[in-house]
Amino acid sequence: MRCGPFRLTGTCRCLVALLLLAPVAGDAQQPFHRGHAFDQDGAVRILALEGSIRVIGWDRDSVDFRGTIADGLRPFAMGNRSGYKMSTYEGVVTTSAPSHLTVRVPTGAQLWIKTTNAKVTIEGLNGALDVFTIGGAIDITGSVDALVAETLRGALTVRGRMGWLRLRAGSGAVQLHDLVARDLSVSTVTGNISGAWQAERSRMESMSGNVDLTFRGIAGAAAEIDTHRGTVTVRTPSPRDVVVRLYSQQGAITNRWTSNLPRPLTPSGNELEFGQGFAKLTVRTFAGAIVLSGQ
Amino acid sequence: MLIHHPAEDTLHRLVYGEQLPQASAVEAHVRQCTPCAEIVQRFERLRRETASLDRAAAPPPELWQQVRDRTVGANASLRAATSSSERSVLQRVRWPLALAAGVLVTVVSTNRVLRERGTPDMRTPDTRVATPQSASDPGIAVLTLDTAGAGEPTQRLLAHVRASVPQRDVFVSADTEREIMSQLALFTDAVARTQRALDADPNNVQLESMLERARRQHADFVRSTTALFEGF
Repeated sequence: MRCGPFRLTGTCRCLVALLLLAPVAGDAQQPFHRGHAFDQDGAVRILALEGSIRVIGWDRDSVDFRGTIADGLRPFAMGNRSGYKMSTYEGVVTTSAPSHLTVRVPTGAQLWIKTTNAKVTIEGLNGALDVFTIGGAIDITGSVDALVAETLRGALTVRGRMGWLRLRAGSGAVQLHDLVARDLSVSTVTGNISGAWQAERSRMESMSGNVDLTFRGIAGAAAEIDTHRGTVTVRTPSPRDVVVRLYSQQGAITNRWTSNLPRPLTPSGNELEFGQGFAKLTVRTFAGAIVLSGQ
Repeated sequence: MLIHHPAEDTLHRLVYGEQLPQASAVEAHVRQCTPCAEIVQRFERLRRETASLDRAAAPPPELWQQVRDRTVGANASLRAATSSSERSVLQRVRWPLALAAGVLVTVVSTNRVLRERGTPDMRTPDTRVATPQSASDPGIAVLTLDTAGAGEPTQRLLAHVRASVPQRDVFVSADTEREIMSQLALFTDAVARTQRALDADPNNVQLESMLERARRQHADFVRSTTALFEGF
């Protein structure tokens, strides 16, 4: 066969055919749908790699998984009324194969999710959640009773009225969107922590991430913020209600809430204490600045 | 007592004395469940070992270079192998034909993708899970770091992270590997700086508390990173 001035050999034909097929096969998706009768407080376990998982709580006694899974992955889904496991892959898997799933579970279900880079979005649940990703973002909205969310590189966003929370991130930023919680713990390595929160007991800590938060103190609330070298900026709508204790070993302390000034300690460190309110705020840094900022 | 086995992360938190919503139920389960009791024993060993990392030394300066050499070297091998096979093909296929094929491939695959999914996902994969056969793929950075020359505490920490790469062959991208390394170094640096400040001001209770916190975060990071890579 002649192709213009060039001769198209058998090898060339094979090469062109392979080039045509390769990218198409890599992007192809297969539809997926499974459902099962399920208890209101049953346990659901989901494992995924790339892509996205969206979980929605509903007032039905069943679980429903639907979406698309990359060709080449063998999905697994099995369970009974009290427990159901779904994995977007089983056994041998290929690299970079995104799956996109929408999952509906009873609102009181106990949910456990682990992904590599798949983004996880959860809304409308009030049971216990455990969510883990390596690089996927985590976004949770609702009235969750107990939540553990950990990610190495993904962003972590939480909003709603919740009970007991443990949030952990590496470089991913943690955002608290007007979060109300009973007991809250947030820990990052380099990720920033920001937003607004209200909790009976809370602890935020970071190695080098900056903390920029609005503290809504309530009676008896105790909040602790610790960083090694991240800057801590705290706002509050009612500074008079807060008992403040600040300490920094090397960082500057700036107080815009009141006229109180920090005092240097001997032989090292700076501290500032003031207030007689009903909520307690403690901030400590090694090298990061502390700023009590105005609104 | 719990009907189901608690998640490993729950057992982790139990061992580390964190508050759990169902702590008594979890403890009761562990007392009667041999597999869970074994997991708890493993975590207790991990806790004992990480608790002794009080004087964690900073990684030696050459460690990062070793990691980089390993990654860059592996990628260079892949590039060399690819370019050598490409040359042999290109000797037989002329450039205009390759160009035309490329255009054709782009048009066909784009049409197919748009038809099937609306918009293509152009995101570069980060973490990859591969078959055991893929372990020989030099393009994939495996979470195994050459720690020769590193201080003993750092080696032990990395050993914990390495040990987390399970039997299921979870591979980690170079970016993630770098991130784990840099975050470990950050903890080591924080502990060392705080320790120096405490040595200079030994009665400072704030520094003492900060040092304890930095060590705890260090251990927590190793624990949570280890757990993140398990179970795939």
